[in-house]
Amino acid sequence: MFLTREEEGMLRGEQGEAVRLAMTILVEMGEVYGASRMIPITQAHIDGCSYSATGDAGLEFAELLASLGAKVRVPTTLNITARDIDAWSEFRIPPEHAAKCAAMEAAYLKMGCIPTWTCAPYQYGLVPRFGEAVAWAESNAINYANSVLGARTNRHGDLVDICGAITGRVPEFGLYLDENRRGQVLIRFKGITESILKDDSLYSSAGYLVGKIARDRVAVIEGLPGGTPDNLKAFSAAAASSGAIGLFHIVGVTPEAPSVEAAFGGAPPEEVVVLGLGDLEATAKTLSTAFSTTGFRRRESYGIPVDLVVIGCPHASYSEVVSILRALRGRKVSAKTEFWVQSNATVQGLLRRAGLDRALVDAGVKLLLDGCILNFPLTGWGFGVILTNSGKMAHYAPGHTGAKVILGGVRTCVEAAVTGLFERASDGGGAEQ
Amino acid sequence: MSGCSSHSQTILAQHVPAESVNPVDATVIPAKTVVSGEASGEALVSRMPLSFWGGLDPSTGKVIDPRHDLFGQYVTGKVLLFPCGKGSSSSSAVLLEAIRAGTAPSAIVNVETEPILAIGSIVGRQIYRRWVPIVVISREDFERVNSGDTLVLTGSELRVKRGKGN
Repeated sequence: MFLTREEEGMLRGEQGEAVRLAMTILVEMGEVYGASRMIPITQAHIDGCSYSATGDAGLEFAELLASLGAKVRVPTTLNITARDIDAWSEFRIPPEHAAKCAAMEAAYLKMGCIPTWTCAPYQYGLVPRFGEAVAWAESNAINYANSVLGARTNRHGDLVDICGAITGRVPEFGLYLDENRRGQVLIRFKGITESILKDDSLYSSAGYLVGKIARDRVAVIEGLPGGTPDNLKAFSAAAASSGAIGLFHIVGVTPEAPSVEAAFGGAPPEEVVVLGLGDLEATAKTLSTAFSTTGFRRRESYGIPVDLVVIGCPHASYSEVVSILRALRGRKVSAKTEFWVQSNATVQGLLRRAGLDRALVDAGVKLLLDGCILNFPLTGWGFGVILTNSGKMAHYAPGHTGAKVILGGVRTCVEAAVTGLFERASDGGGAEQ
Repeated sequence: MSGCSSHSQTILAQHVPAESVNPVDATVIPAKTVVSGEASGEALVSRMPLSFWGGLDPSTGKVIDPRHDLFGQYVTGKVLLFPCGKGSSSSSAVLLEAIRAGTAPSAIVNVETEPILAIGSIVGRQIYRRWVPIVVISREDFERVNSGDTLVLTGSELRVKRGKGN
């Protein structure tokens, strides 16, 4: 691949050992994937900063780079860490785990990263503009940046993200190139109206189905109302859990899809799939592992006891927290149930300034900052059933926590938190009708 | 098979009809290198895409995704075959941690290899001088390998000796 004189120099170590190491990794990656050159990036988002995800290897890599004097040369935001930085002990995180997290956090801060600690950097971080080349990791954020914002990033893995930030470059291949951003598979939703979608978890189900069908192809979606940024966040996250999808176009909603023809660049789709409400409901049931094992039908009359209700995968926005408070209507969380809302310090600061942080505390809702239960050791809690509005959480929680999960809308989640029981129909639509 | 599709962000191998190299039962499959190296071991084959994060516990080498067809199996020392990656971008770091902890497979064989997976092995070679060779083979060849086969990876060749039950 072609390298500029400066890039050649980086590879030879003229800008220090950290830059040499980062450039070596990027060049090898570029050679493997057939890149013809490096391109500059304007910002990066680091996913490799969660000790739970990366283990000691990821920590050693970060500490090695930091000790070699690595500094990011573009603005670089940080994904979650594997704890709540201030309140980790409240979530029963063992001190030795918290110490590893602190070391990881210190290494990335030493390299000059911004302590955003969030998996939704497109809501509370640096928001790239249309067409801007960036180096983002974190599968949901990659999907959102490419699809909803029209920025350009590959599905970067942990470890290479910081290499991009340190050199300010990435090898040019995949989704950085126009020809790879055109649609490949057409997914047409029939009969999915805005009133059906008032059950917000249907966006998760839709995303999960799209990821499964698209796999690693660019999906063009027709017949799906755009919804809110939070809906598109849930959709992006679920799709990137069931598939290797890094870019989708929703016709009339996302910027590279003013029409089906435009999204496919004039070429015909290689596959067309038509989906309806029944498919979304079936997906919600598949994701809800607690149904198949507890015999939901028989227990429907009195509901399923829920140990943990969790919202905020990806991290909840200010608006989502407000919608939770509104649905609570002054009621308190049941003594039998934990209700955790995962978010970041930016949202927490805004809630404090609005005086809403007290309302959460009074209701018994725990704001979990900086992290995610999928990256926590949940030992000592004994959660048997987890209810969530997130398809991504529903997908990964059984493997990570050992608990059974149920997928339901925000209002269903709030009702279950208040009564301690999951019952259907709280959202009055879609899968919960 | 819940497989993967052709995409320029991944690497594809060309299918060349395989020939039997000796009268016993060894077959040679052409393989395209993603991360170079030589390895051998018993094949552990999945027909489903795999996310290492949420799918593999690097401290034990065990597949922990209850939705996956290899759930409960150990990948350590095996030649791990699955069609392609999916899901989390932390899969790279999980592979690196498995390399560090000594629980990694001896090699990985895909139909397509996502950059996310390749980077874990590339970084392993840089910082630990230990890595997992990764190659891609054609979909047709992939379908012909089964768990229990003995595989030997040398450069651009994957040698298959049929296991019991084939």
